[in-house]
Formats: sequence, C-alpha cells, structure tokens
Amino acid sequence: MKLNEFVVADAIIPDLKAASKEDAIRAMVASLKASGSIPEADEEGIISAILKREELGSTGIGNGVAVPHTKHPSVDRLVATVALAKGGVDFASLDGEDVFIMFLLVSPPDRPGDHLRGLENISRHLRDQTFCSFLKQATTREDILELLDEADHGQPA
Amino acid sequence: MKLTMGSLPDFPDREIRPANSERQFDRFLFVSAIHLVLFFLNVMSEAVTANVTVPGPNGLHMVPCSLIVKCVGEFTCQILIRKGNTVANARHILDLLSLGAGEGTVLICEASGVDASAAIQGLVELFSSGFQGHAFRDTNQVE
Repeated sequence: MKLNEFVVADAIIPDLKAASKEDAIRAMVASLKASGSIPEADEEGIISAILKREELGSTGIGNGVAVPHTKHPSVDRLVATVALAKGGVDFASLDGEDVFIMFLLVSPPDRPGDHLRGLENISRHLRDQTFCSFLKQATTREDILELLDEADHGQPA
Repeated sequence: MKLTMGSLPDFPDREIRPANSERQFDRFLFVSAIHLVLFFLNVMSEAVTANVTVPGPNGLHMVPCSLIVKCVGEFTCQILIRKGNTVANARHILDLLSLGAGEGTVLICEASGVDASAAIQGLVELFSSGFQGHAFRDTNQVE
C-alpha cells in the first residue's frame, strides 16, 4: 500500500499552526472533511475517537513525529492526511519533545489489515531521517506530495 | 621479578630468571585471567531466541508495539525482533510498526546480554497474553 493510495492530497496542511494537540487533531480532521474524505456529520465523532485514543497513550512516538489515528465506521477505506507544524506542537510525546510531522489516519473498523499496512508504510518512511528532514523543510503541499511520491517509488528524498 | 610465559630467552644474567615454580604460578595466573575474561564475555553475549505469534485481529499495531517497548525497557540487553528478513529494534516503536506484522505472523525474538533470558521470557509472556491485562486493550475501537 503506497502513501498516495491513502494520503488525501487536498487534505495536506503544509503549515499548521496549533496551540495544542487537540487543536492539531481538529485542524487535520477538518481538512479531511473539507476534502470530502469524511462526512461532515461525523467530524466531531472522529475527533472524539482520536482524542480518546490519545488519552490511552500519546501517538507522539518521538523524533518529532506523531501518528494520531482511529477506526471509524463513517469511512469505507483508509484515509489519511499529513500536517507540518514548523513551530512544533506539544503532543505529550514519549520523548517529551515537540512534534513537527503528523500523519493522521482514519480507517474502517472491518479492515484492520489496511490500517496495519498504512501504519507500516508510514513508519518505514518515518524511520528514515533524511525523509523526515526533507519533510520538515517542505513549505507547500506540492513539496510534500513530491516527497511522498519519491518515498513511494523508493527514491531518496 | 620478570614475568614471562613459555620458553624464556637466554638471559645474560641468569640470576634474575625466576625459579621454575614461580614461572608455573605466573602461567597459572595468566591462564586463569584469560578464562575469567572469556567467561564474562560469554555471559555478556548470551544470545537467547524464541518464536512468538502475533495475537489479535489487529496485528502488531501501535498499542502492542508500545507495550513491547515498555516491556523491553525493563532490561538492558539488546533485543531484536525479526519478521523474515526484516529486523526491528524492539526498543523503537517505528521499527516495530514497520514490521507490519498481522495476526498469526510468527516473529523471532532475539536477545543478547546479561538479562537476555528474562527479556525473552517477558516478551513471550506478553505475546501469549494477547497483550491483555495491560494498560491498553486490543479492541477494534482503540488502536
């Protein structure tokens, strides 16, 4: 499963300004809604589900990266968005550091395999310090899409 | 006294050559020290492996990966988890997630170091429990 198969291009936020983790999650879900990837009526439900998941343990997994996610019946396929926060967001990360790169995933409850493959793909690229470094420097949606495309095709970022 | 091993060169001054018994004692000390070092090296590099099977319909998603990192954090040894040719450092959640291990996948846990056996035992118990009885639950709603 490639990144461009589930990252919604129109929902990417290249310069997110968020004062908190909740602000960041709300902005990313709103962006997915605006792109038509999730129903407007379920926006709050999805935000609540993601925040509930965060209460159990932060998805800020260190290295300036967070992967907030949830399963929700309002989607029939895995959808995701990317946000970059140049100023950093306090995500209560495992390493205590601010987060600069966020991948937010929403997947249907009956397709755990897709969810796992999405996480696998994102994680594989986020392990690459070069990829993360270039991603942090991206300033436009086009820059980000190009980096994701290069990652999908196994090219150096 | 000059300490030497094996055959001694012909000393010009024979008076400084140690007696036979002293040389044997020196050799004994030397060999003992080598054995002691080898023993500790062996202990330090103790490698233990075990196969585990990924439980639950959701596979090795973020919650189980967090629990694995938490589990191995109690040990000092090096711990790797293998899925085929893919190797993950069990202390890094991104490594573990990138295994993409679904339900039923057999993983090989490898630990080396002084507490390798205990670490592997901890991991085996964690997988066997289905990641239940911990802070997180493996449900469809909470991943």
